[in-house]
Amino acid sequence: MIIFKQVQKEGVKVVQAKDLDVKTLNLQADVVIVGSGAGGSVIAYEMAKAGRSVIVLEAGRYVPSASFKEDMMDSLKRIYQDVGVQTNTTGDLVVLQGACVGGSSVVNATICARAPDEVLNSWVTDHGLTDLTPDNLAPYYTKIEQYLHVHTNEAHEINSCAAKVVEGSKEMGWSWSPLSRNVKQCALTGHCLAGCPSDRKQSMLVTYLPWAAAEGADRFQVFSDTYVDQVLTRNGRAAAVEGRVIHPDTKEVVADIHVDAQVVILAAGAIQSPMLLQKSGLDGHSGLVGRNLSVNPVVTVLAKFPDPVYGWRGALTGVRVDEFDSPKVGGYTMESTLASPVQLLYQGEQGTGTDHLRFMEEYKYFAALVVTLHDNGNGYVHWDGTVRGGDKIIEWNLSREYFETFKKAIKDAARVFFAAGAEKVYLPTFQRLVATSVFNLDKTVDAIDFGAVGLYSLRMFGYHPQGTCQMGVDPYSSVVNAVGECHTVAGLFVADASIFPTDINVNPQMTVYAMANYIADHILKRANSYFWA
Amino acid sequence: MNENEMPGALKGLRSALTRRQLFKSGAMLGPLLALPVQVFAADADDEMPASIKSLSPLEYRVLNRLRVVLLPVQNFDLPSTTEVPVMANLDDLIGRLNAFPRELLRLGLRAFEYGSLFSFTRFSNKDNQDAYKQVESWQGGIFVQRGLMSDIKTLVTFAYWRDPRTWPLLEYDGPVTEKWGIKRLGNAPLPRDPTAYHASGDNSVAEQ
Repeated sequence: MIIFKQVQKEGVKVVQAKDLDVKTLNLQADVVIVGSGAGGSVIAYEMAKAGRSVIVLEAGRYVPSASFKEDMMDSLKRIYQDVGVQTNTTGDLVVLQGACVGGSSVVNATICARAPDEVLNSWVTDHGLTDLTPDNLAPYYTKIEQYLHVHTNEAHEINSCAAKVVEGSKEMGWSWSPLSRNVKQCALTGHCLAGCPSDRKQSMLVTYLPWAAAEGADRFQVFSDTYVDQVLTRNGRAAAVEGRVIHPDTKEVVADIHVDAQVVILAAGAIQSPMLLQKSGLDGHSGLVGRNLSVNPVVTVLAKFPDPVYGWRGALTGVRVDEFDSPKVGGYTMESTLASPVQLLYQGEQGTGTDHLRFMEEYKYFAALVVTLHDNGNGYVHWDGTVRGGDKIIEWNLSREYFETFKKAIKDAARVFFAAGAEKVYLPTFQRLVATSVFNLDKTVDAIDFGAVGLYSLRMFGYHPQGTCQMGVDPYSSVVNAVGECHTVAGLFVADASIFPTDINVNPQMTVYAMANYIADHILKRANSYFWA
Repeated sequence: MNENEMPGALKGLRSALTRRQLFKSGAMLGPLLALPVQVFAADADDEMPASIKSLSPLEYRVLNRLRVVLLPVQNFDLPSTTEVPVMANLDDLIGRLNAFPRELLRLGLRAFEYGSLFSFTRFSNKDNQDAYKQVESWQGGIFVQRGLMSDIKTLVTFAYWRDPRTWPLLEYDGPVTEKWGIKRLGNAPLPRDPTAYHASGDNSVAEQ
C-alpha cells in the first residue's frame, strides 16, 4: 500500500488565541513540546514521523511568512521577544530573540556553522559527554545541512559590504571565508532579520513544522499565543504542562490549557526554558538552573567610505574574518552585515540634531562588521516573583576582561576597513567616538570609558543566549544529563541552546538542530521506557 | 573561595548585583538632586492628545521636546516630525515595552526632565539652544547619564526613521520582494528518505 504524505503548500495549521471559544483546554499527547523554534520543531518532526502524537505550545504569535512586510518595526512588534527590547538588568545589553511560531529561526541572519571539534572534545573531556564527539554528531550536522539547504555563499551572495571586508582582510593578510547559510535560492533582498516573505530562508516555519504536520496529520497540533507556566510531575516523572492562552493584542486570557503527556520537552530557548524550570520548582540538585548564561555579546563597527557602497543591498551576511576565532588569538568573530537604517540607531552614539541627520545621510557610504565575542557563562537568568505575576531578570554585565578583548576586536575590525580605504570608523560606544585614520585608531579606541564597572561603555547585543540548563553527567554540576533529560525528573527534556555546557564559539542554530535530533533519537530508541500507554 | 576559584556563573552574579545597586543609586541620583527643582518649578503639564495611551504627561512633554531638538529636519529634504507621527510611534513602541525597560525609561525621563539642578528649569521648558546643551551635557556625562541619553535618543530617532517617507534621502530601498516580483517558494518539500519510493516533482513523499 502506498501512502502519500502531502506537505501543506504554505503556512502551518496553528490554533491561535482568536480561534478558541472555550475557556479550558484539556489535552493529551505522547509528547508535549514547549517552544516551536530550532529545537522544538526538530523534535516535533522526529516524533511525529515515528508515529507519536505531538502537541507544540508556542508563546509567540503565528505570523505566516506571506504576511512578512520587510519592515523592521513591524517585525519587532510581531515576531521578536519584547519588541526587540529584552535587556539585562542594567539596560546596556539587548538580548534579541524571536517570539513567534518558528522561534528565532524566523528572524536570524541564517548563518550556519558546526561547533568546532575542540569545543565538542572539551564537552567530552570536561563534562563527561562521551557521546557528543565530532564523529558522532557529524551525521546529524550532515542531515540538517541537507534538509535546510545549507550552502557556502557563492560570488553573487557577496555584496558590496562584504566585498569591502574581503578587500581589507586581504590587504591585512588576515584569514577570511564566505559564510554558510540555510537559504534556498536567495533573492538577495537583505531583509533576513525582518523575516523572509518569499520562504527562501529555510526557517522552521517553512520546513520542520509543516513537515511535522504532514507526518503527524491529526496527531500533530501547534498552539500559538500559549504561555506555559509550569511543568507538572507525578512520582518524579514529568506528567503535564499547564498554562494560558493569551490574546497577543488585547492581552486577555482567552483560556487555560492543560496538556497531559508522557514526555515533556522544553525548547523555549536559553532565557525561557530555565525560568520554566524555576517556576515549576524543578531546580534540581545543582542550583545551576539559569546560571552559566553566555550571550555572545556583539558590537557593530561601522565604516564610511568615500564612494557609495549601498551595503544593505544583496545577501545580508556575506563573509567572516576568522583570523581571530581561536581564544588563543582573541576569541572573537567578525561578520559582514549592514541592515536597515533603524539598526544604525543601536550601533553607537549617533549624534544630536543636525549632526545626527548628517550621520544618517551617510548611510549609503557605510559598510559594517558585526564583532561577536565568545563569553563564558558569567550570566544568570531567573524568574522573580509569583508564577504568573513575576518578571524575568537577566543578569549579565561586561567584565573588564571582555571589555579589553572587545577593544582589541574593534581595533582589528577598524583596521580591516581602513585597509579597504575607509575615511572614518564609528565606534560602537555610548560616547561619540570616531576614528579618522589608522594612526589615531588606537588612541580613539582607548578613550572608550569602562568607568567603574563597565556599564554603558559599549553598545551591545546578545544574539545567542545559551548554557542556562547545561548538560553534564554529574547532577550536582549540571541540569540535564548526557541525553538532555533533567537529572531529577524522568521524561523531562531540554532541547535548545540552554543545554550547551560551554559557549560553542560559533552561531548556535546548527548545533541546536543537531542536538535536538540526537535527543529525539535517544527518546525513540528507548521508547518503551518513555511511552507506556 | 577566592575570585579565581569561583565558578563563572557565581562571579557574574555577584558582580551583577553590585552593578544593579550602583545603577539604581545612579538612576535615582538625578531626581534626588533635582528635588529642589521639582519643588520650585511650575508643575503644570500641558494636555496630551487624547490618542496618546501609554505615555504619562511628563514623558510626553520630554519626548515631544526631544523630537524637535534631536530631529531639526526643516533644513533637509525630509518630512517633518509631525508629518511622520513621531509621538504616536513612540507611544505605540513604549506601550509595548516589558515592565523592566518601561520602568527604566520612566525613571530616565523623569531624571532628565528635572536633571538641570542649577538652571531651575525643566528640560521641556527650555528653548532649543539650552535643550540641545542639556542633551549634549548628558551624552558626555557620567555613565548612567550617557546610557540613558543614548537609549532615549535611539527611541526618538527610531520613531522617525522607521517611516518609509524618511528613506528617499538615504536612498534606502525598503521592502523589495513585491517590487521586484520575487516569487514565493512556499513550504519546503518533505526531506527525501532514500529508502522510500518518491513521487517526483511535488511536495509529497510516498511510502510503501
